[in-house]
Amino acid sequence: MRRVWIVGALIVLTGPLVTWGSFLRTHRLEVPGSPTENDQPQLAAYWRFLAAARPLVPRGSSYTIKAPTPDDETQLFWLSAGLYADVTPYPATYVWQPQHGGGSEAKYVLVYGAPECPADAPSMHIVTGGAVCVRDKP
Amino acid sequence: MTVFAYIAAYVLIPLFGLSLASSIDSRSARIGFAFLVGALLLMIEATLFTMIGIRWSIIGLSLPLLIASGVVLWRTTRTDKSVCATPFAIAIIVVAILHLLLSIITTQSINPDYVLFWGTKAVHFAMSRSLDAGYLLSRYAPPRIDYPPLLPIVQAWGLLFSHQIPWITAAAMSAVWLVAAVPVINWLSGSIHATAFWTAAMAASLAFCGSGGNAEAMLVVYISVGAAAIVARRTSIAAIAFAGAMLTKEEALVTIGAILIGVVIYDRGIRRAAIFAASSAAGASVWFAFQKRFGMHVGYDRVTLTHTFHWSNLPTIFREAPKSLAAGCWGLSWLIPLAIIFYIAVRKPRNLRDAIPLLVPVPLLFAFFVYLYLQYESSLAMKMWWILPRLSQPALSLLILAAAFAAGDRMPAHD
Repeated sequence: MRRVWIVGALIVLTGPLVTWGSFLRTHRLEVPGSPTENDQPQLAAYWRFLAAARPLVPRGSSYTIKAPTPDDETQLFWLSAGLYADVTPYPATYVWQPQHGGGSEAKYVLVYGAPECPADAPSMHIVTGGAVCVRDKP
Repeated sequence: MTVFAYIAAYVLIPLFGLSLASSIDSRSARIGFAFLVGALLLMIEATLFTMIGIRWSIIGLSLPLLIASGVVLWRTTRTDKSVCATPFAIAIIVVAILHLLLSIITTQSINPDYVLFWGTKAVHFAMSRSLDAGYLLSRYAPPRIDYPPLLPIVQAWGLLFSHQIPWITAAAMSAVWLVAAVPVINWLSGSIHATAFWTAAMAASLAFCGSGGNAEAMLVVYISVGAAAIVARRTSIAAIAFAGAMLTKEEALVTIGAILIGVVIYDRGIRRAAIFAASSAAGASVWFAFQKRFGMHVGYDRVTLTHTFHWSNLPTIFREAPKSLAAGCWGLSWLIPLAIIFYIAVRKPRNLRDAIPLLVPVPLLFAFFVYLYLQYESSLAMKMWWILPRLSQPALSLLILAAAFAAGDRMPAHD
């Protein structure tokens, strides 16, 4: 039975072998830009935007997120909770529901997608995937 | 530097668990099990610290556990036995673990839940140096606040060293759980060849399911070690492992319940099953006590059962199941142990007797999956594809271990 286990293990490992063959044919080996770079492209795009914007948002300040859809805003907000743990969140959308105030209390507005700042946050910094807008009076 | 500091934190964890692993007479298995126990003790201690208002620190969390391990080691005299291992089997194990590790490092197998809530919780817990009930109960709480906190606490432990989370490295530590389990499974099963198969199958499955950074590797390892320890008649090891499983994910409740039915059938009595049930309940009660202390909803909140059955779901369930059970190798990791069990059932049916505690849960778990999926009202195929590959992993592990014990090709241990 010992040989059966070993042969069986080798057969099972053909699955990973095929997976790696396919991966190496279609991807270059490089440092990933986000933790979900090669598995969840949409989450990866959110992540790259949030990571690019992070240096512009000082710890202890406050932020909100604007994005094209409530789903974008919900997922961006959950992702941001790990990257912006030392910043106070005022999400415009939480669990797909618009929030009272729409994030107007936040000093920094992270705009995902087309870089267009809200009228009350005119100071704009372009980053990968969007912009960081700063309110004069949050 | 952040990466090395984070990894250094994990190196300490086996030292925390040596106090409860000292009875194991194989050095590699002892270290592997000490890692599993160390994580469990660290989680319990960190939770109790928060409940009594002590903020976490490296010294504060380390010292009690190191002293306990030191005292036990001081009093223990041992003659270790080395479990037989063949180079070819070891090579297979190394390749399998590298597959999982590299799949995570190249971000093919990092779970979205890791960046959406597991890792997020860890960051907040480490920042507040507590199991932050304020965050869990905040207006903008993360998803799944009812999940037990073993994983985020272990991840937060690493953050106490590194201060910033090295996201991909922290996810890659999921492979360490498999590394820790290998010598324990080998020691319990006595078969390095079956262990090599188990490792290959579980690594392929964990990578396939995207288990980097989430709790799947932990859950599979605790359940597998506990189940193997039952057959190897190492009651205390099984009891500890099940407590760990209960503090990892609530899915453990169903799997352990099914295993206990197998234990009752095998033992024709409830003594051991009662011990395992009590240890599982004790594990869960640590989390429930925390929930009660801070005014959270007490209990698990994962499975929503409507008890309304949609029998029209049956064709979809049976059509989609094979795809979800591919386990990264076209389902071969299921089929090979099934073939071995079938062969043993025909040639040496008495050998199957000892594997009963591992065999009984497998059909029970699949019956539970069908019961669950019959209640889904919409998007069944998509939800099965999301959930079943992960949910079925403990059953896959139990099946392989059942075949390993039934095959009975234990290699002799050496003094």
